[in-house]
Amino acid sequence: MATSAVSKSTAISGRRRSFWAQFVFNLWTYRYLYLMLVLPFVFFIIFRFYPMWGNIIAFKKYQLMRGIWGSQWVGFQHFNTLFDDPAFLRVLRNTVSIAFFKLVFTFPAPIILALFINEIRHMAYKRFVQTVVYVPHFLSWVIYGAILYIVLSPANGIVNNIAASLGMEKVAFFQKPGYFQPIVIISSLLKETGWAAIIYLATISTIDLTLYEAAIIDGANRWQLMRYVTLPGLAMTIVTLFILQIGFFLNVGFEQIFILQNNMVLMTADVIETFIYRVGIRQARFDFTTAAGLFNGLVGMVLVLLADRLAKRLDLPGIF
Amino acid sequence: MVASRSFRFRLESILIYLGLGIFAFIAVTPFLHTIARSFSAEAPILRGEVNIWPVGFSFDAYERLIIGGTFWLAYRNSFMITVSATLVQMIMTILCAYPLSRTYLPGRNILMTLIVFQMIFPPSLIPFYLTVREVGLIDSWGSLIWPYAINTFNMIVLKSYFQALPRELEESAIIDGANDFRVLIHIMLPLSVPVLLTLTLFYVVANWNLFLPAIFFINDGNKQPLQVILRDMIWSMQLATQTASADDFERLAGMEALKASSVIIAAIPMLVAYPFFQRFFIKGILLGAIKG
Repeated sequence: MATSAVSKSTAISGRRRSFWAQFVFNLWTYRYLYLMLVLPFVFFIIFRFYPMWGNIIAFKKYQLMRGIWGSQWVGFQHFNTLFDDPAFLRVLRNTVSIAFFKLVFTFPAPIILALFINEIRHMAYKRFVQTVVYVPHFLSWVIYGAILYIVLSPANGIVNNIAASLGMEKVAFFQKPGYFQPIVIISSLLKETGWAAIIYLATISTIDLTLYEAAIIDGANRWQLMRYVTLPGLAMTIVTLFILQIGFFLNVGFEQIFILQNNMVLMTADVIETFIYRVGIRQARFDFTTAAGLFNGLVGMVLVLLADRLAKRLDLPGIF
Repeated sequence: MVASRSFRFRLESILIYLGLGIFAFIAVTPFLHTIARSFSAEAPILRGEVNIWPVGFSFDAYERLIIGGTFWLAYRNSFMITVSATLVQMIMTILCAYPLSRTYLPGRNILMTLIVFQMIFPPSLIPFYLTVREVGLIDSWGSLIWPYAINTFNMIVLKSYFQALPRELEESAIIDGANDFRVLIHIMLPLSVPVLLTLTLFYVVANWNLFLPAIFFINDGNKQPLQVILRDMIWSMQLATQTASADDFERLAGMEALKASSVIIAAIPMLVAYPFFQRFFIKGILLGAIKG
């Protein structure tokens, strides 16, 4: 019975033990639970914590032969090079710009969609709309990107076919830097808005129906119901998700951007993560790009912590 | 209710129905266009006559793909990766979530703090890549499985679920002499089937759609998953059509339809599984909404 969860409390409340005696006792008492944790923590240590130490090559001149530890220290040299590099400054600007427009457009879109879907009384039509707008979420960005290439094809994609039939000039969308960021934003909207609306629809379904009845008796119309009943019911969810989005502001969508970009549009298409991949792994400049990664990670961490603090200040469930 | 049946209300309803219909139509048009192209003859595609309905109906592109055979390799690779990765991920996620859901476990807070810390400060790409290389996983499917063995969000969802199950179940089993492994396997897991199924589906979709890890870690063309093979095919066809001269016409014959049908063939497994996924995913996203 030594392992029983029931008898554990008596062991703790009983005699005082030295720290190590208590430690060994706990280890033995809960041995099966700790045993379960061994593999998961081997995973966390190797693939999550060990790479954190690897960040020190941001301050070293990394040489393959000498390894991470043997390489020579260079202080903040890589950071200086990074922030003097016009290419990296452009990358930063692109990242912030895409992040900002994603926040402005892709954040409110699912809320509006959910409010409208909620107005549909015809159940079959409602199910039809929901089914259609959720589908793209399940397809990979590779597939969706290929579809975009086809749809926006300069010679014979549907968008240019329509443009031509309206007498407009055909556009080579994927070769013009000016179109890249709009394509990223619009394709995120089309692919993910439906899916993101689910959480709002679920929250709407928890709003007390008597609130609507009372408002209708008071003579509220559709928009007043939306404004004074549905939206306040959604407020918590909206603020929570907004704060979460702020916390992950710099995660602009590595996979999406990597798949959509090409050399012709790199000046507006390169973001921090794609820069790290291209310069770091492809050109093997590990130390220099680790500095960029460390910068990205630290900014991200500060944003997440600020967002969490803000959530708690507002009495919302924090991120953690 | 009388007032709300007014003309204005009806008009607004019609506009809302119409607006949503248009949004749904725009969202689905890229797919319709791609499907239409895949079933069309090449000439009408090149003339820009194919929009959302096939012109000069033809199966040629699909025939070429099926005979060509690249897709069987791609399917096979992605299938094997998805099955093995999902198995590993589910086992690891359960093994991690259950002990951490036992609030009485000494040291639990320290372990949770560590896990939250790696969540806010995820490893950046280069050190992560160097680690995978040091472990010797480059160019093996292991590099797509082990470095991604636990998704922390999924693990926390499962942990919260276990935590919400009544303590008495565990206590009575322990009094009957069961150890924690038996409690987990015979009591906790059977009670968690819906959430386990949802997490499995989350992992399956992520593994099937897996792309970047393969780009980072796999160079061997025979080991690439479907997504990478599809991308390479599309890119080489894109390049071929862009750089083609007039005498290349023979070689390029059917390239546009081929591009479209490759995309459709790659998308089919997900589209077939979608109705099944839709149900469980929606449940899953609601589970995820419960704070960890």
